[in-house]
Amino acid sequence: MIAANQLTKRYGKHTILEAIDLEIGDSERVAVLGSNGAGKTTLLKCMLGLVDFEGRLTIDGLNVKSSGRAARQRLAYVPQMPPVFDLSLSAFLELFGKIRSVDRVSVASRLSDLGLVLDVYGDKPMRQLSGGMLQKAYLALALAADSAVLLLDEPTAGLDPGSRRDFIEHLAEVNGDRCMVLATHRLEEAEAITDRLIILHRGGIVFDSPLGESNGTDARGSISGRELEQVVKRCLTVADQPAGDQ
Amino acid sequence: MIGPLVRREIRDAIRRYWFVVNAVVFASAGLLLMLFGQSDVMVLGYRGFARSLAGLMHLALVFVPLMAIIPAVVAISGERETGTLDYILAQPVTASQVFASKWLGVATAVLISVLIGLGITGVVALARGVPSALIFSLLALTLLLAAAFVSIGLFVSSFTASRTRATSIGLTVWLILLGLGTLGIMSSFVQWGLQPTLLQVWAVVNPIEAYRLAGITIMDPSATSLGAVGQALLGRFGQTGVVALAGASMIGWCVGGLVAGKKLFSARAL
Repeated sequence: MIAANQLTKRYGKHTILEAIDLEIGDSERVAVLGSNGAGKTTLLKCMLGLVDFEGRLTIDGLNVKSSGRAARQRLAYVPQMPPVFDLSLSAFLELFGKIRSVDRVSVASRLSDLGLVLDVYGDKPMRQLSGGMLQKAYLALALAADSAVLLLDEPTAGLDPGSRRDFIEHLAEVNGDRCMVLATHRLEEAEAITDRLIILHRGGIVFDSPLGESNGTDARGSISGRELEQVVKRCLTVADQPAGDQ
Repeated sequence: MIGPLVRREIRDAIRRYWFVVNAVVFASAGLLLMLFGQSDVMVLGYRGFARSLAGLMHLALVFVPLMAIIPAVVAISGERETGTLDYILAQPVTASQVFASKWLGVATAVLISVLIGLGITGVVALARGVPSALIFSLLALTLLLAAAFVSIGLFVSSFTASRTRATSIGLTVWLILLGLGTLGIMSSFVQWGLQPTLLQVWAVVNPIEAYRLAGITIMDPSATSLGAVGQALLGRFGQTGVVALAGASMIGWCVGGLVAGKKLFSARAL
């Protein structure tokens, strides 16, 4: 579904992503883990065609650079900090519902599943909604869009622990046929939602492996549980050391 | 796909206070001018009409570019600042479609605002016997001027990242084009010994000057208030030629700003 070949992104002299090679399957759920500034958001922005980059990146075989619009048709996106439009919640959902050809009933139903009733909050301006409510609205739109890929950029960043737990539970129940890319720096989120872990550090992939469902190493050679935490720590530590020390 | 975005832009623009304020201020000032000009009209006939309309035109050449450029400069930069632009561009739309929707939205709102302001004055002027051809000519020229400044404003907005910065640049552009009229820079031309032809070129290139040139040429056949540069252009190209040149200049700014802005915006988007 998603294929990156030598994907490189530079801002001036700073290299944010360097020669990334990546393949994500149709129904894979991938967590892109990394500390702040690791390049997670930039990777997602490249997929969305929001920034220019070097190398090749395709979504469902469509080149992001030359067929950006068609590629974005296959992507639904939940941003890290939900932007606040000068619209009511209803008007916001209607606007982007029309752009994505999603009917209002479908969005309202998704929103209701997330615990936000449109009849109650629909007339409220977005600026009067909490971060959690906004994030639910963005997620409802993304889920209703029924696109092939769900891109989630630290979707729980502004949520309190309770809302975060609900959010994660809901994401875990998302249709398993759908490809999902979750950028996060929370290991527990990656474990709860995804089945493959990519660790991004200083613009490069330092770890890429399937995640098992129980503690220990499973048949595919994947890792999970306590081992995972050690791997993350080790990956980031090793990546931080000068080349000669590794 | 562009329809919902355009409708949102128009709704947004109309909801904002500047839309009503501009229309009301413009209409009030225009009405005052027309009413003051009335005694003149009664005494001097056609020449009086010209003076009243010339007053309205001079009001428009200061006010209309400002009421067009300010909402245009913040249209993209404002969304860039709040982060909403990235979300729009993350949808299955092209950067060109987003830019076009911005232009159509802002231009429609500004043109409606000008139409209301000038329209009310125009209706009063028509009722008082001012020839409709003059009213409609002034209206067409003013709408063209407004569209040109919407394009200029969106061009500025396409490369600015904050409302404040965009507004500063927009106001500077407006002040420069307004301040550097032919009368304002004529002394500098004489002092620097520059070719008078350059002054004529500038009179046509500057959209505000082009508007003034065309307006006076249409409304005042004697063209007494055109000034030396305008008179020279009139002698060289004739009345139709001057109006055509001025119209082409404003259309050029409109299209040029649109094309350049779209190109910059698309390049920044990806």
